[in-house]
Amino acid sequence: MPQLSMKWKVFLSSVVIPIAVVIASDLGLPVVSLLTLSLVFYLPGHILLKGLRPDAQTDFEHLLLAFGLSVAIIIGVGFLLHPVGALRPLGWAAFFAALAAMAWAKKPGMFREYASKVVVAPKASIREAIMLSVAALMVVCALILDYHAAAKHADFRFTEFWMTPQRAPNVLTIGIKNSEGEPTTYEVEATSGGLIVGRWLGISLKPGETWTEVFSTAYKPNDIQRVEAWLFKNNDHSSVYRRVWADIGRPASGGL
Amino acid sequence: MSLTAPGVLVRRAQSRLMTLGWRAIRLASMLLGLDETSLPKDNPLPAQNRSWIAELSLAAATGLMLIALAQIAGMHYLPDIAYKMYWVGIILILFPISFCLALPDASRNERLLLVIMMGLAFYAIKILHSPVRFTGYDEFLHWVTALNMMEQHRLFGPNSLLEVGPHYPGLEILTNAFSGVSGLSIFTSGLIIIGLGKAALLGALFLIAETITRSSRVAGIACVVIMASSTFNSFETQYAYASLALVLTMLALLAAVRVSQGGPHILSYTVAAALLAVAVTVTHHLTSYFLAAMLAALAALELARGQRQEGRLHLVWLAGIAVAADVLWSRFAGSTGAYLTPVLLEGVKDFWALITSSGVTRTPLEDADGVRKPLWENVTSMGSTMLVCLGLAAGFLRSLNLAGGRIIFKSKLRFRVEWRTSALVLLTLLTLGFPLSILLRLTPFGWELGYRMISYVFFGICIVVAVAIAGLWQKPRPIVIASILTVMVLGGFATGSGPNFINYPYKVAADSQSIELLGVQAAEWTRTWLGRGNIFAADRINQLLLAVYGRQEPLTGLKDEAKITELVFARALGDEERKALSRGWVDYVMIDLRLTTALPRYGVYFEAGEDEAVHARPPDPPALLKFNDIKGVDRPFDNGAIIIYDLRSLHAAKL
Repeated sequence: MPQLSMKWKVFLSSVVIPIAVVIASDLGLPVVSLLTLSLVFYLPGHILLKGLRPDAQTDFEHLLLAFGLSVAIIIGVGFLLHPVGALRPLGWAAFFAALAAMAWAKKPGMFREYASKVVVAPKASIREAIMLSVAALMVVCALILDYHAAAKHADFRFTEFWMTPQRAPNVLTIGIKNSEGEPTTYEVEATSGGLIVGRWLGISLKPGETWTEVFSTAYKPNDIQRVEAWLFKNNDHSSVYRRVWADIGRPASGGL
Repeated sequence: MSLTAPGVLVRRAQSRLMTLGWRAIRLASMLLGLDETSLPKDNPLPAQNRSWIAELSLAAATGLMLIALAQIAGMHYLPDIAYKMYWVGIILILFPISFCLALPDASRNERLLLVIMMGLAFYAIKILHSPVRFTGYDEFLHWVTALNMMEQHRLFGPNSLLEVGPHYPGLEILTNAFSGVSGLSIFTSGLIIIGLGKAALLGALFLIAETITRSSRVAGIACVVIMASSTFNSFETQYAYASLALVLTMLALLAAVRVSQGGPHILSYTVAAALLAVAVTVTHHLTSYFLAAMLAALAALELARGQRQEGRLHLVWLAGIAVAADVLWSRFAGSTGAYLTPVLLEGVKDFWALITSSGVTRTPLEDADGVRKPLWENVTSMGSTMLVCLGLAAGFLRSLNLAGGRIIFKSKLRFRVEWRTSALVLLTLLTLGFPLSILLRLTPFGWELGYRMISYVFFGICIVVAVAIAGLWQKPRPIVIASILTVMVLGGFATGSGPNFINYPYKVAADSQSIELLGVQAAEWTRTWLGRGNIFAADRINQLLLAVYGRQEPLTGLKDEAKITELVFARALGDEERKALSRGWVDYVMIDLRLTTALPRYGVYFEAGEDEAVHARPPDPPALLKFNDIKGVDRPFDNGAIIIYDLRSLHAAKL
């Protein structure tokens, strides 16, 4: 494996690694997942190519063909894993382990050579290294800024209101989720046959918070009656903000 | 004297005319590339020591930062600022790198690194547009197949949104493997797969172009010209089977070019090309047909070349394997005829109507809802197309000349055609598809066919146009070349995506511009509270969200005569719709009241082929809310814009 100069060790440890860790942690990526890139997209094709032409150079073309052949091999293996229902992490892990073991048994030095191709010492001046670092940092910042803005962004401010039947025919779950982007107070009123069968006042929810309540109401079997729930927002009783309904009295066919 | 003077004048005039004619012939010869001196050659001088990569990285990073800010400005309802920052960002990535690639003394490796850097920077624009989830329509179709595979651990799980999709599962298998081993989500895995594919495609194109033109300068320019394709930075960046298949196709062509060259590793290249061709077969139907045709044509050209060459037989085998794989897979997976034939037939019909002036033509550069693009975008799009046409005019014969193409006359009527590089001849002939694709794009239904053709035709266009540019400007004119490339690629962006690549606020039936939190949360709610696998009638966008986030079964067309459009938009239910409901074909209907605010941006509210009458004006809200008044229909969910009705009580009921 080629030795990295002190300049590049400093550069890698102070800029590249922190950036990779920041991206990984910020986007929820486990760092180890980046290492699987070469396992999936390079190793299978590399082994096949080395088997077909052991004396060939490991150059850029080799890298490209190794990528393409890795994809082709994995697709082929997918068809082999399908009949036994093994298209799952364990199935793939078994394949990659078998592949690595086979390659190791055939040519123990392959991984040393493989590793030497992964880490290449680039030649650059301090000025260029700084410029490249700044460029990398800018791209990372652009991605993080954009990711956070998009994750938080909502074109609409809204409240979800629902009422679903449970297992028993007269038991209902009523729920609210606040996506108004600000703390909001709600009131819920449930009626059946003109009578109030449930009322919940002063339900204060922070943005993103959910409230649910299970309630039951009297019913006669085979006598279908409608339960209607109204939602009011911020003590405004002049208009119903949301409304939902469900018929009870028949055997429940939905819900979880 | 008086008698000779006119004779002298005539002779002088003849001589001048001959000189002018000779100059015109030389000029035409130079422009068309018939002259050996007008063929592109790499600079014999050693490459400069100075590398521009650091500076160009900084410029590209600044461009990406501007585009990120443009996306944020777009989200915050600042469209003018967003629009300007977006285009300036693209120019910052594009112009400096094109300038460096145009320099005759840039090193080969620097060119290679720069084109990959540019390709990845352009791919990053797609990530900046959708950093949280896939938003492209086609991406959702494949997301569903990938989710099915992840959950069922098997292939071929049905996908009602794209029935043919599960039979071409290459992309989803790869996603399953990478996601399974790395622990990343399907979304992140998909982004990485397509990103790596972009780099591989450009790398393979560079090597092919470098090999067949013997010029790294042409190769570098060809890699920029391919980005002028209207699909390169839009359609081909999507998480979709065609995106991966195009990458594998380019790699297979690289291996096939090496086979045609012969050499000690011919067998390994043949095996590699064959494996890649089979992988393309199970990844994407159209691309696999294209690859099989290309390999067959390459083998035919090598055979017709008439010179004994060791790669000929290997190429014949290769073409045979690709064709056999396509035929066998079509038999196993079921014919793609039902899926592809209507598009082809409609395209051909429209094309015929266009050339006989008997049909309706599509207004170019205008969306389905009549929204026109800004003038400068239209001018750039047309400028790009014009430059490609000029490039083809100047590059077609030049490329054939570069390929060693010669017509040798044995007598007045007998002649023989010779060439050295079959791959370059093939890619040059492929460009003849460009005018056809342009004409098809002027028709309403042929548009899609023409749009898809572009991806394949540009395999040849990029090399021919690059040969023209490098041949015409052999002396350093980097500003001229960079300007031409910039206009070409900007035009490609404008035609392919344009402002849709900025996150503007919600629009009705506008694919990526309609995917937002309110719909996503509603779909997620259905999975949590109604369970999976319910049959939902919903509009085009909510179908996608229900399938992915809700894991529901969206209905893509009621059986028999009943239509979803009628079910949702009619003021009262028709007989067919009542029958469909009583037969239990629909469990729930999801009504999105936002549909009442505008016409569909991409032409349909529900699915292709819906009645044109519904596009006269947006639907009335009371028509959508008719389920409020149908006895027995529950209303379990309401978020102000989306209402869900439970229709299960109507199963087997007499309405």
